Amino acid sequence: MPTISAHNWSVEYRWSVSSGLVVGPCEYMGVRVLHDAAVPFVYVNYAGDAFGPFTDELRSTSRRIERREIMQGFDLKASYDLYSDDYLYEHVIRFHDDGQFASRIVIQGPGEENQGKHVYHIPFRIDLDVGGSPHDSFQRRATSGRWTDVAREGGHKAAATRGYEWRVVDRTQDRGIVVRPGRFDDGELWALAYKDVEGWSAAGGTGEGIPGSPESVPAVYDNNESMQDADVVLWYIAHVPSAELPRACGPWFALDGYPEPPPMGDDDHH
Amino acid sequence: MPERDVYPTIESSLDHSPVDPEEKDASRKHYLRDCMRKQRHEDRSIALSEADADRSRRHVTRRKAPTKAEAIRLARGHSTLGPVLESGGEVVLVEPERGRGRGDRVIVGVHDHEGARSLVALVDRNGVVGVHATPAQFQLSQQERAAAEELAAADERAKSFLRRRRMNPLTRLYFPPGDRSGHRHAIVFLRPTSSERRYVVVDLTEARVVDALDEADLTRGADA
Repeated sequence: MPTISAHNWSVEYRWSVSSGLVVGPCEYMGVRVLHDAAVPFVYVNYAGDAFGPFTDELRSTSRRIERREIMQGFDLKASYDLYSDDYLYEHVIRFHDDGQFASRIVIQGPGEENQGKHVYHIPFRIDLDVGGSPHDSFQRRATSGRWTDVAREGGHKAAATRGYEWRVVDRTQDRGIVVRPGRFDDGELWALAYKDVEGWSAAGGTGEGIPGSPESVPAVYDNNESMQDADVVLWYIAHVPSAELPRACGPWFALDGYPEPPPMGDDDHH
Repeated sequence: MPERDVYPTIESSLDHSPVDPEEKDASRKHYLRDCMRKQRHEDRSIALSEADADRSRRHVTRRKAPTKAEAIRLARGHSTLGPVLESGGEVVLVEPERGRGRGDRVIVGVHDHEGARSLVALVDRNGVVGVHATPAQFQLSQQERAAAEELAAADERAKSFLRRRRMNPLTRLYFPPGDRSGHRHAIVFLRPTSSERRYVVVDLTEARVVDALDEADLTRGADA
């Protein structure tokens, strides 16, 4: 796989037949952050539920992954343009030199109607590697502002606080990764214990229902396993109405307790 | 150009030197040579210290993971997957394993039409490492898309709509509302222009068209 070593990151990436742009493994300052991250599919349902839903593989006419230098970091970008006049999605995975990173999908639509009667449900699967498995602890921020342990697998609606609402910490390494939902995503985050069937099926595997619903991914992998001293995998799901397209959605991440980068100017990471 | 599925493993090699490679080719007699006799190499030799100084992180390609054809062959020989594929099951996905793997294994997705279930397996060059029944359904394979489009093109309603125009299909995995058959379905969007659409629903398990919809059908019931 091609590797980018820049801005304190080492990022492997590739084109996946089932889900387009996939990154991982990824390291920050030589310390592992991600096993991999991808958007396995897109799910679109139309109002009334008379017909549909449809699921889309994220497919492209070119399979081109563009690297773009940005202020204090770099982007990897892919366009899922195979659907021509009907749908266009763009996927941007961004890495900043201070350890922030994000996976965002830009939904261009327009879809099969333009009266705002359909909704895009975009699942982002993020397989974190905070400090080696299985010492992860999944936490959510309480209204008091304190981080509190979450006992079991399951989904959590975003509270729209505009801040970091969830985190995965490894207490043995004193490291963590915090997660912020997209402001307009109507987002939800699912935390699961890694299972082979979930990891292997992530190559485009979908379900009948809306992602996050009991009959679809990731809920179908929820065995009520512990989220403490676990090997945590995250699924973030954005629910985006078509009324205000184009729109970008997706989670944002920051690192906590990872090695500090050298002072500016000491090293050329480009 | 035909599409080929080859999954090379690209690995980092921290101390690679092209003039003194770690894996030496037995057919070549000499390493550490410069046939161009450039500066400091007047006698055609390159000092080991110079090669060492130039060693850097490079990428070496090694083909380790099974190819698509190999993976399918290995799946056919497996005690669980073999009978499924013999009885009409289809391989719908072959793809390299992701970040947790070492790059030498592939994921194989199988749809078992008879059992109305999906299976997922991890396969290396020696065989099937593991297999699970998965609650997920994989996206349509290229063959399934082609089969659905062929069935849609033959449907009288589609023909009447298209009036010999190009179908320009967009074909996706589909879940008919309320369907409990366990069958695998596709929906074929017929797109002769940028504003005209029909949607043909195909039951891939029974290889037949089950419905043809227009734009209004998609949101029927929305205002009820």
